[in-house]
Amino acid sequence: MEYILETRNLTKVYGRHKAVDSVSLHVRRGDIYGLIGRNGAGKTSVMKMITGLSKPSEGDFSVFGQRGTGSEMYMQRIGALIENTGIYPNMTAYENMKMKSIAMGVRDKKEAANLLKLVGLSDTGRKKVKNFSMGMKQRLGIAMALIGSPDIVILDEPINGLDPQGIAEVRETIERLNRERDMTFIISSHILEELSKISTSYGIINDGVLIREMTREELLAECSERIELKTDDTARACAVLDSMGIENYKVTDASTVNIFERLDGSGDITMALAQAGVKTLGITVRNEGLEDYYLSLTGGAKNV
Amino acid sequence: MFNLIKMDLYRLAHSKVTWVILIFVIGIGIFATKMTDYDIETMKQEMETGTYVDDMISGEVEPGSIAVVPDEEWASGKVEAGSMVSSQVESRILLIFITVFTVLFVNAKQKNGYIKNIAGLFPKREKLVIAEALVVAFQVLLMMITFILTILICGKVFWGEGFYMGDFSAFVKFSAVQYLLHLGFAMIMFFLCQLTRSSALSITAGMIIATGMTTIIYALINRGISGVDSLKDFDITKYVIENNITATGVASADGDMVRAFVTAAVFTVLFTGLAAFFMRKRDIR
Repeated sequence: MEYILETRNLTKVYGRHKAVDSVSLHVRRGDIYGLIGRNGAGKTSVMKMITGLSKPSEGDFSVFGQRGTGSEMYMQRIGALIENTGIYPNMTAYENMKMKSIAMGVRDKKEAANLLKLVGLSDTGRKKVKNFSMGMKQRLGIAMALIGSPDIVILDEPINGLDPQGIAEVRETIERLNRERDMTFIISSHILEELSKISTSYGIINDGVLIREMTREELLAECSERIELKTDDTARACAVLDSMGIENYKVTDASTVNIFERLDGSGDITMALAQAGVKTLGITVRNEGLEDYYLSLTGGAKNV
Repeated sequence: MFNLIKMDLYRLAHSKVTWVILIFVIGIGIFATKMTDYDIETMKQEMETGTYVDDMISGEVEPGSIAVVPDEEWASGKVEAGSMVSSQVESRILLIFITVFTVLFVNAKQKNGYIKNIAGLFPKREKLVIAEALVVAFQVLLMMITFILTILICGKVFWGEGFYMGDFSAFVKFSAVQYLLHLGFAMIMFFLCQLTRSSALSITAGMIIATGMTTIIYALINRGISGVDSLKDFDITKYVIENNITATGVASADGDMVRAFVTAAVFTVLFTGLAAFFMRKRDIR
């Protein structure tokens, strides 16, 4: 499958600190890719590398299937909002938009005004950006990232500073652009619940390492209620489950089988395994929220 | 790159610092001309006891001198425009305004984070530097023209028919060389901004150079290299921007003009190149 953006062992070292360690992520066209990680996990560093703001220490990335110098001509197809919004405080919202439009050679004179309307800033007039609220500045940053109708939009913590209505509006805007203009989004956040409402794919990053990549369906499956069976022989255990008529199960590693049906049948399953001579090392019913799942992956709970 | 130049020109037109500095340049042009007018008036009143700079240099100082003017002719009320402009430009006053403008204009892009919006779009980042350098060069030209025009207009107002243009081609040659010298200085500031990302450091360095406090450093360098036989007569002050600004007048010899021109060109190209190098190599913060 060709990915619209793909990184290959992307690494970034600052002095002796490895901020990003061999990250290989895969973003398909039309995805809303949620990059999840706590503060300092390496999300922004990854985004800076794929937007050309910093050079990787090792590894590379491809955009539209092109790597290295071949990808350079596609960099203008990427719009980005990285960290705080980069705007001139003594200019108006329109003037800030106009400058980037000029730099990108955007000929449509109405684009800046249309984008400001899209993010709800059309009424700011001659108000200088220094007098904007944090939420208004954030929305202006998102509008700036959309100049030139990019194919890929990278948003670093876009809902920072927004009130619930603002968050809902940003979410709705992203979904609409994704649906109507087939824009691909890469969004980083540490607010998992918000990401879960919008993302179609996820990358979980911790201490600079990409721990898991999964689709929304896979994540829901991971988080849904199930029986977690620990055994020393998963192959024979699966045969026993098949003989019991249990079809909805998944082997997740060498000693674990997750069973998604007959959630009240732990006793029956244990007895059937025993009769077949399969040792049961442990059997529990689990139900994880997204946050719990994330914490279990990253070991974050022990730090609480 | 043309789009980048247009963008920076748009920013130039919409930045407060651009217009504030131009207003100050006009103000200082009026002030400097008026001060010279006062000096001339004083000189006229004290004609008998006045002293001319050339006489002071030659040692023929008359006792009781109370006024000094750069040009003997001025005391008679005739002021040649070229020598008037030359004396003001050589004072290096413009360097202070160039320092403030360049540092504030260039650092704004980094300080406000705007650079993040565009740096990634242009993998060949030196284009960003060259485009911005061209716009700074344009503003320095504007400042120079404004300063010169202000002096010329004020001269005509204050001295009427006594204010006249001498050798126009020499004046144009002088103005062009001085513009290049001032541009070379602006590029030093430009480079310092890229290197340090600090307005305080860059402005301080600019003030030190503009006010001639680097004399001590040059003296030390000259002393250090005077021990080498082949460099015994070498004087580094002849090849630095600020000293060439002071030493290059409208009546300077062709050799001095050429040396000033080459010095300006070398500094302009060198420091723009260095700025581009650092922009290309560094991560955008």
